Amino acid sequence: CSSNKEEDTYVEAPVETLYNQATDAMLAGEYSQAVRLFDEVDRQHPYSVWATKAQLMSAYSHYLQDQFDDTIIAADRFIQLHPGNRDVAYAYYLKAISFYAQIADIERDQALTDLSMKSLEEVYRRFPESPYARDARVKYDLTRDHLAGKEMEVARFYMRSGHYGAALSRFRVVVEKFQTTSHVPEALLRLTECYLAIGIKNEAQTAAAVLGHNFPGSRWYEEAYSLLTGAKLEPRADEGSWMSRAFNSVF
Amino acid sequence: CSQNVDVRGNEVELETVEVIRPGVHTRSDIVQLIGSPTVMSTFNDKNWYYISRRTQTTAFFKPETIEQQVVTVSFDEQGVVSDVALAGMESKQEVAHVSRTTPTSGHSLTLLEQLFGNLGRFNSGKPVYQAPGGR
Amino acid sequence: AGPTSKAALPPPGSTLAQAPAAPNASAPPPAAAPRAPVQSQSISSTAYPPASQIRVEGTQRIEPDTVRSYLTIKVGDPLSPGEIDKSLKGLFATGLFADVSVGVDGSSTLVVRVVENPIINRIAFEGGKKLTEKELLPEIQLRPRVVYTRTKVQQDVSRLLDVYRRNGRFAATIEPKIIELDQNRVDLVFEINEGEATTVSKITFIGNKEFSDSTLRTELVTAESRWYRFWASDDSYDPDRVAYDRELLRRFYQSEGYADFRVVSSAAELGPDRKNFFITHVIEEGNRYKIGKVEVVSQLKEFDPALVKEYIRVKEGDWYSLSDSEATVSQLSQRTGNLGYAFVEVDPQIKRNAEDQTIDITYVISEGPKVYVERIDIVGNVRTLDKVVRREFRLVEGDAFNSDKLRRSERRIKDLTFFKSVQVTQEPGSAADKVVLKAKVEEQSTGELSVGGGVSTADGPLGLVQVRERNLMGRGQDLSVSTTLAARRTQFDISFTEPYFLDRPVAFTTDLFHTRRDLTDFSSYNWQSTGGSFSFNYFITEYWRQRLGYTLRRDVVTDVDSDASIYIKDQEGKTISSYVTHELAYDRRDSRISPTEGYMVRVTHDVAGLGGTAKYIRSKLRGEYHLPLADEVVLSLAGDVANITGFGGERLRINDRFFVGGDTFRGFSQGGVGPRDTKSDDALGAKNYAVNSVELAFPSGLPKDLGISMLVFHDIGTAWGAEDSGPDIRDSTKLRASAGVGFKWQSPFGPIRVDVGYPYLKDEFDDTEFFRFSFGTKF
Repeated sequence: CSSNKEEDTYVEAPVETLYNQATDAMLAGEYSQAVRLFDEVDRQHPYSVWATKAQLMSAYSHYLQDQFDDTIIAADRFIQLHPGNRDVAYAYYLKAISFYAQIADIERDQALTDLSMKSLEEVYRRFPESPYARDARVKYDLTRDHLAGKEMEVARFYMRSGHYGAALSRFRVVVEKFQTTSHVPEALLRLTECYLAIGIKNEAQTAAAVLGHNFPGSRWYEEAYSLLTGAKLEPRADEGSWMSRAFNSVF
Repeated sequence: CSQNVDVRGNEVELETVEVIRPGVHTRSDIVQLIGSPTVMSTFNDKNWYYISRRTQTTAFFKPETIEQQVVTVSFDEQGVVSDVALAGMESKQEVAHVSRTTPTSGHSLTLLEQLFGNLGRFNSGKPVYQAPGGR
Repeated sequence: AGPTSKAALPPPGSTLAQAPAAPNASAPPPAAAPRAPVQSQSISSTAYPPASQIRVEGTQRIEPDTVRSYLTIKVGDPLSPGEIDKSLKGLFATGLFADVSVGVDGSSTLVVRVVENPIINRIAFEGGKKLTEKELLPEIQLRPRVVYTRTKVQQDVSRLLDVYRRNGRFAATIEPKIIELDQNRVDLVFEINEGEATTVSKITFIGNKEFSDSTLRTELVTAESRWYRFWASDDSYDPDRVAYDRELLRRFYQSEGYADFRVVSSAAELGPDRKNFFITHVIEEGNRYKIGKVEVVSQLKEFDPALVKEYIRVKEGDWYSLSDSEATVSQLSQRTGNLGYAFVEVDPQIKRNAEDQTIDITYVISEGPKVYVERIDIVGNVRTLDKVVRREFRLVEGDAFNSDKLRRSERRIKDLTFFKSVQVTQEPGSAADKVVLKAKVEEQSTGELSVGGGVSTADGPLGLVQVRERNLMGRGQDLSVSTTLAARRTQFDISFTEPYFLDRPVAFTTDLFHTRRDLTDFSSYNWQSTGGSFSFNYFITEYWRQRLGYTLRRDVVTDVDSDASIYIKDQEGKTISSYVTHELAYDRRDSRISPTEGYMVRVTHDVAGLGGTAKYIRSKLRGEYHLPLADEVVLSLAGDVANITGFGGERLRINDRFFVGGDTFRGFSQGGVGPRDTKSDDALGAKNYAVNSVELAFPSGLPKDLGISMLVFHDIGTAWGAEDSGPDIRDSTKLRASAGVGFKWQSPFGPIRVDVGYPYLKDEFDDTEFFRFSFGTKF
């Protein structure tokens, strides 16, 4: 915050006027000004009920300026000081979406994706009936989808350079652990491709069959089908019935 | 000039494969003998696949597969070996991989942000996005 | 103050219940504690009364609900002392309260009295000269508007002391002071007394017969403090550095043949004035060993060790050297691995025979444990793409684990120069024989914005602006845009390199350039060249490198002086040259930027004639040999032979000919050696040249950190073959030679280079140049 000298020049104002000035600044889009004023409320009148509200509003103003790191710090401080407050759900939610907004694209470090998944999960698990639970749940699924994307990216890297062993185990991870994500159809097609490339026909057929069974209309299945027919094979489920039961339970 | 030969994956020695006796060995015996599999069958772990490949790379050409071996060990319901199969180069096939990929999102930096974005960010020693707070 | 003693509540647990009930009938109940048993009686016989209400007192800033949320007792729960005790501990653990007391008031109201910890209003550092507030603040946990607790302050004080100790201030003391403010707020002031810098004033060695104190001192990381090394930081005393010194000493001696060497003790005493340290290393050199028998034994099934015998770096009769032996281990395991043996371990067994002071080494190649790489996870790459790091890995997921390949992978990732630190750690995988490799990278700024200035004999005063990004878009690509404005040269250049073209290890480079040179002093004309080129650069094997390229250029010769040579006048005008380049190199040098060992041979051919007006074949042959004679003393021999011949009846343009001199032949000006029009004294450029140069570089003897290095050089060679013929043209194949001394200084303002060369062998029409210098800064 501002250097020491400037702080003393701040006139000690009653808490209501300070708070209203801050809110007006925020509504007018003067977010950094709003942050400074909200922090003043908290600093000058730490015991007023407005101080608690001001801490939360200061975090929100940071968020509006895309200063995600500061938002997270402010939200954390609110949670530490007022765990019992009825607005604490909003603080958790604000922290989660600040992580979520910084998720890097799949070719780069996914540390932020893990952080946002954990904090989103914290929101919908601790405050199931809060208005933010549903949105947190949706964003949580999107983040998981993103992690699956990262697995796919690495798997494709190995597939393109012909390391089918490595590619197969990564695609399997997507199908096993990320069954609810949007990458599963493509993973099944890749399994078909890779198993065909190394000549394990029954696995290729199983993968294609599951793909056809669960995503009949998708282009991925068309490509898998043409691949198999090209190689004079038709997709049939491996005799193990475990596969279809496991998959139906999910979809 | 000698091209270098790379061995990729879990290349199981053939003599050890002959030692495996279906109906007798269980999963843990197999792990003792030839280690854990490169990949298991997709939806159950009925079949274990040991995939390996020898490639020869000259200069910048794509590494050329000179030898490929897939050892398949299948188990019955009780987890005892029911069959062992060995596939070599003959089963190798060229497959044209579909180029389309599933779209993903995520914040990717624009060119300028990349070019100048990190000039200040690293030199000032400020941590890039350290998870803040006392956690 | 610890928790206040609890109200008169009996200790918890049922054991108490039996005690009062068992006195023998005759003895009257002890009069001393008439009330206690009764009370315990009532409590033990019925369940504890439920809490009807929980009253919180003493909260100022924190809501009562918050306090209640930390209690394990809720309204309606029984008021058992066990629960009360747990709530008390819970409240304390939050760190929000200086003092907490929990009691029962009346029969069923739980009373919680708290005294809140104050909030920090401001933090200040007083008395800190060497380290400013900006450096200290990030080190501590406390921040304004955060809860103040005594334990956190103590932790911060010890953190600050660590910082000072790392900066060599062992005598520093720190006193935290609190200033009470209204509304339970405090200002926190750290009063710092930095004390004197404790530097190392003397390092002495005991027991060193073979090497002098000063040679050993250069091996160490810690250095003695001197008045002129005012900016150095390696002379402050740091125990970790002294421990590292012991390791450096061991490695130094063991690489000089002293296999028995050991450091008996290293002591650091503080001087009486507590200002500087005296470090003494007591060492035992032991005798010096030569290498006796060297064998390679293999425990691998059908593996003939003779296959890898040639890679042994250790020869019988040489002095024993630890570093050579380690290099041999790495070579053997790498070469054996290359022949398809996955799990290779090479361990050197050393047998010392004291009588003839020789060491026999047997390298045993055995099979290591069978472990496979399950996953490779790359973490910390905020900008760099995953594949840019992953493609440098010599291991693929599913491969057999091999520590030598891992080491080489880590080295290759470091060579990318994108990362401040690279650590590849091994973590257990999902099965006993599986390992997960975690590559943790920390990125550094790979962008360079350099603005430079300087003066050089060739170009006069010059200014340079260059923007370069070595890791463009995190894709490992290199883009640089540079403009140079000098009195006699203006240059504009954009160059882009993709190291893995089409995901193959082929570096694709393309660049566009526009250069204008004022050559009036040498050949009285100005030369302008605009064009572009692209090239592919790749390794055929580990040492053979090949480059294929194409260049399209438009050259213009303009502003020819009126008194210029007639042969130059008719060169005025424009030419288009479009030529293909092929280069083959066998490179065994230890580094391409500043080689100190090894040799390199390179042949380059340019064939111009695919379109364009110029038609010629230009071929160059270059050889280099570098021999390290002693520490930082390197003898370098370099030889260049080149020829350019036109074909198809086309005359060679002047700017395609060779202008030998200046940097390529010291002691002579640019084009000073070679055909010349003696009437107008203009260099006409030669069709062939052969130059050999010998350089001996050695440190200047002055302390290392002044960055001054000297070199002695001798150049000999000639340039001949004029394109034109006429009475005033002189051309000769006579050998010219020059000898001289050079001087390089990495001054704080930038690299300064001065060469003084005396051409003792020359033809009378040559144009000599006794002194050359260049000074440039880039920041």
